[in-house]
Amino acid sequence: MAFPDEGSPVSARSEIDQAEREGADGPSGGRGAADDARGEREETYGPLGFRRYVKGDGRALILYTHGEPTDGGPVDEGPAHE
Amino acid sequence: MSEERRNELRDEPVVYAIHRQDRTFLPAREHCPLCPTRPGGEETEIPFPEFEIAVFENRFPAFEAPRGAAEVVVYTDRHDDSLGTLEPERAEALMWVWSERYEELGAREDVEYVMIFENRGVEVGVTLHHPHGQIYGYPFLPPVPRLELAADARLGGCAPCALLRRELEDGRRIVYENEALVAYIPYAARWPYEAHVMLREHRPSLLECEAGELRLLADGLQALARGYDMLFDRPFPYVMVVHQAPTAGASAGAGHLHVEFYPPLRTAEKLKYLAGSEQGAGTFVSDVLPEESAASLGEAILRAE
Repeated sequence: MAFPDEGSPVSARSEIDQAEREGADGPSGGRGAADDARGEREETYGPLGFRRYVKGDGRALILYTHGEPTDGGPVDEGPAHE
Repeated sequence: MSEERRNELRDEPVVYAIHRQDRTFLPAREHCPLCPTRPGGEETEIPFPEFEIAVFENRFPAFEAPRGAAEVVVYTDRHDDSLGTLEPERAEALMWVWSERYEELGAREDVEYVMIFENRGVEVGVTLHHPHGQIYGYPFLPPVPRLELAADARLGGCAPCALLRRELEDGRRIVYENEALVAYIPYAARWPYEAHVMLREHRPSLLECEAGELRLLADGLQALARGYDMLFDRPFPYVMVVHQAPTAGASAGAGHLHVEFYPPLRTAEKLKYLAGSEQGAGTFVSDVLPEESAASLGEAILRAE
């Protein structure tokens, strides 16, 4: 079955993201963790945009947007964020 | 950290995650930990006033690094939504989130099998009503996908492909179809309203799907979820599991993407319990023929459109 004009998500991550990933230490750490903790860099996957955060207890949090990104500001800068 | 043991009589793993005994249990909606954090309100798991889809590491994990992973996927910031009532664009985005998490978790050395699932309803043990699913990254290949791979060997090829052909030839148990998938109550369903949503093309995982297939997968899952709710005119409890290829080990990449629903209801008020024959002999005894339940579920899906 063909879906004209629609690509496969096999290589869904953006090239920039892939380049960053190649220098990463792991999927949830070592990827410019200070920036990631504040969600300052938006990554992409297919039609998604997403930002990574680290909660106050060290657990990972990822927020995804589809289409137009929303303002990603945390509540009161979020005490759960590093 | 959980402890893994092996039940030698059944040749299956058992995981002891005793810290989960203390997890949040059916909180009042004003204390829902999966709602967004409102300005001035108590902080939830998601410290933002609004969000689309959120994924975070489970506070009470059954698996965690360096032996696997456990994540929570929150479908929406709206507490009263469900998989069936999400806007179609949001449901499609959820398919991409599933794909992204499958890819990232599956790349980890301590994860051999990624299972995406949703428990819906207190009947299946849900402790939080906010619409969400979960992802387990198993550090081993669990028994069910192992059996599915054994079925491939037994049937001499992809078992889901063969079973789909049989269901299409028979036709009586099909409840929904679109260009990318077929949903049916399988010939030997274990649960009265068990349904399998099978990709027509052989795709080992979400990663091999075309974008249009992901959109149609979302359409199919939503149609089925709405049909379930229509069937008995009540929120329909179920366990939904996304079956995909293992991501490591000798069987990595072998499998056929499909989604299975295991609903415990046999009537509007009566549950199907796993009792003596099911637990002691591994033999389901059902009160409903799949052909009959397929007819009523198929009608319910049409009424819900």
